[in-house]
Amino acid sequence: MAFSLQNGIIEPLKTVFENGAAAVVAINRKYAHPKITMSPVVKAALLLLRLYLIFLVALLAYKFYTIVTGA
Amino acid sequence: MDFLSRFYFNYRRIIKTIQIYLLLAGPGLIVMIADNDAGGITTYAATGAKFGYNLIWFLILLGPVAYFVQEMTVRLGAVTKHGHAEAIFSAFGSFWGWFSLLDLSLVNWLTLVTEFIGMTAGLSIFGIPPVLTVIIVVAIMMAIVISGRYWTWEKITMVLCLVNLIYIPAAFLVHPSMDQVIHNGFIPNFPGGFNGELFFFLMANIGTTIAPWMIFFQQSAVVDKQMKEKDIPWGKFDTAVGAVFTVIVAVFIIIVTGTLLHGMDVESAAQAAGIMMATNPWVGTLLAIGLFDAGFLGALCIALTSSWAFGEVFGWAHSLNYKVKEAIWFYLFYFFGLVTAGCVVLIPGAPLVLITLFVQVVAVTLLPAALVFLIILLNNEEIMGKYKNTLFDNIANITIVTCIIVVSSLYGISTLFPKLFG
Repeated sequence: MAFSLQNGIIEPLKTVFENGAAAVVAINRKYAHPKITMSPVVKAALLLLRLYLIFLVALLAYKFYTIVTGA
Repeated sequence: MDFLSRFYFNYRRIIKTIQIYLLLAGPGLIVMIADNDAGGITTYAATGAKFGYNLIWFLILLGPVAYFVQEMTVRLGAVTKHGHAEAIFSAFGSFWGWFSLLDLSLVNWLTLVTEFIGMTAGLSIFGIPPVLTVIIVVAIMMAIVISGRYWTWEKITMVLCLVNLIYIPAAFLVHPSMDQVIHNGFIPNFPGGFNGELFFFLMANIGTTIAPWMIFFQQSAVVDKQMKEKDIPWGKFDTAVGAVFTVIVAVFIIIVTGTLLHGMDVESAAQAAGIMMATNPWVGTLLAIGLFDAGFLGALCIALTSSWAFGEVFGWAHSLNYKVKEAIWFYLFYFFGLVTAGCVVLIPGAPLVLITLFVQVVAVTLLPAALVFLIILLNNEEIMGKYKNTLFDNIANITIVTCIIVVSSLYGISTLFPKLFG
């Protein structure tokens, strides 16, 4: 039996990605709502974490810019 | 007679206590000793070469720091029976969950590459080609986990932990001056004054003390070992013993390089071992074996951490107590991480130095989040019940976590901008 690209590679890969995507959707649905009580302290901590990550991403972007432009 | 019976009773009691400890020991001891991975060994070797014995006191201070952070994962794992990745998804929702899981996978994979760099460099001193090292290491690491019993994996890993103590005889072989070790090492001092270079080394040492994978690893290991609330005191004791050992190993590495290479700029532990092979072959050999073992232990734990985390979130069977065919995705993920990281080291001209530096930068994007989540979860009475943080726990943990976040962030930023601290 001749090897078929469609049946041998594309279809199995398609199935893997479809199953993966379905698993991600199921996980997102399962954990859609945080179970922890969002007290002011928790909210403040999560906000600070977001700001910290934005700061780090900005630094990385700046570093990337200096490398690309040679500045 | 009374004396003899009391002696026998106490002897039996001590033996029984040791037996119980050996039964429950594992996650804390392994995570702490694996913390002295290839990157850690390099940091300590470079610190000893640069500053002699002068920063030993600082490393001793880092022992309690590591203990206080890791002790929280014991309680969280034993009470919730969930790994850290699953705990984050469940408590904070999918945004923080995905961020933690994907960031953990990236930083773990990059760290795995650095472990393979250490292992191949360590064995290349004995003339073993990197390709052979990678093949043998991956084969042994697969063989260790496929026994289908967590207990077997844990005890084999604890034997590997014993090899990490190889730096102790190495230190005795170099005949250090005990007077200088005590005088220079145990009295807090900043050699040459507090300058940018010293600050960089202090940051590097703190950076190697707590890594994101350690938090995820120990919590998952506690769950896989099926530890219960009643085992928490033993888990904490195990973590404390591990913290003592990790400091002892670090101090002895500093003594070795501080004695033989003081005043030199050492860039890697392999370089230090190579230099010593010429003058002190036995010490160089022990250092190279230690470097290989450190990389091996680190890779073993880090590859498992990613597999556990993905297994928890995706709902795969994710325990070392399963046979390969029962938890195929768990073992495939573990194998895939090891093989790809090993192959990177074999690519001619691969940017290995860049990868080593990049690890620090990626780690600081995850470490603060993982630590903050840990503190929040440990303060939640609904989750932790009577095992939640006490006031003393919070004062100690929040102080330590704040310091780690600030210093590791500065370390990551200084990796991006090397001239920042002069």
